[in-house]
Amino acid sequence: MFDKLYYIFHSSVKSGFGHAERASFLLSASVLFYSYSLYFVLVVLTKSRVFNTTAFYILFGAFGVGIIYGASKYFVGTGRYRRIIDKYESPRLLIKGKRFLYRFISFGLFLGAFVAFIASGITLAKYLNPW
Amino acid sequence: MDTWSTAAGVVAGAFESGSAIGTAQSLRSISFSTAKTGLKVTKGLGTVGLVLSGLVATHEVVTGQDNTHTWVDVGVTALGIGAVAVIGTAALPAVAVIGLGYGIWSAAGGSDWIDSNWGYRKPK
Repeated sequence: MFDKLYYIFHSSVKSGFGHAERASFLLSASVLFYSYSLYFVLVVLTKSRVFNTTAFYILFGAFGVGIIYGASKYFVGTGRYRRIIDKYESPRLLIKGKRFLYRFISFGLFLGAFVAFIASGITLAKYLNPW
Repeated sequence: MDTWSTAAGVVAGAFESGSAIGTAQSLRSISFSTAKTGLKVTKGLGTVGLVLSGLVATHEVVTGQDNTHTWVDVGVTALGIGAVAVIGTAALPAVAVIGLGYGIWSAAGGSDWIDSNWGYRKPK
């Protein structure tokens, strides 16, 4: 599933310098912000408390950096992106309609991650400090 | 923690704009290794900037300091990073100028202006 997702992002990103790296970054940034959103929603649903401690923020940040670097190492560092492109087809050979669909999916997923983060953040803010 | 949050926000903004300008400059040169280093630096600083942006927003939510400016900051970061990732190095100078401009405007009272006009909490 992640291979196909990566392929969709790879096909949507404009080709040029650091193509594979940029696709990996876009995918991992989306996954990261969906994860943060899920955490916010789970806190509200389970009525848990949020730790306002330095250790919590360090863990929170390390998780983010880990996801972005992990994805880069997995897809680009190991050369997996080449095998993914071989498995499907070269993004250059994609027909216009399919390319448009892939762009729609990837940009939708990326922007959706931030919309989900903002929506869940406001929900959490209302739960923690109502106005 | 307030000082920590403000410092993190400033560092995140500086990282994003600084890395964008640095990479744009290095990519203009012919040397591939310089450009490769520029890409690595941008990746590193972009990652830190993105994660710090999420961290600052979370800290503001947890401490009750969040308001409309929190989410505008997240949106600006998302659009900037998204543009660089999708378009590539061609977008770096524009993103650097807009990011730096927004950061300065925000620090100079833009955030308060956003909150006083569109805020969902009464500004403290």
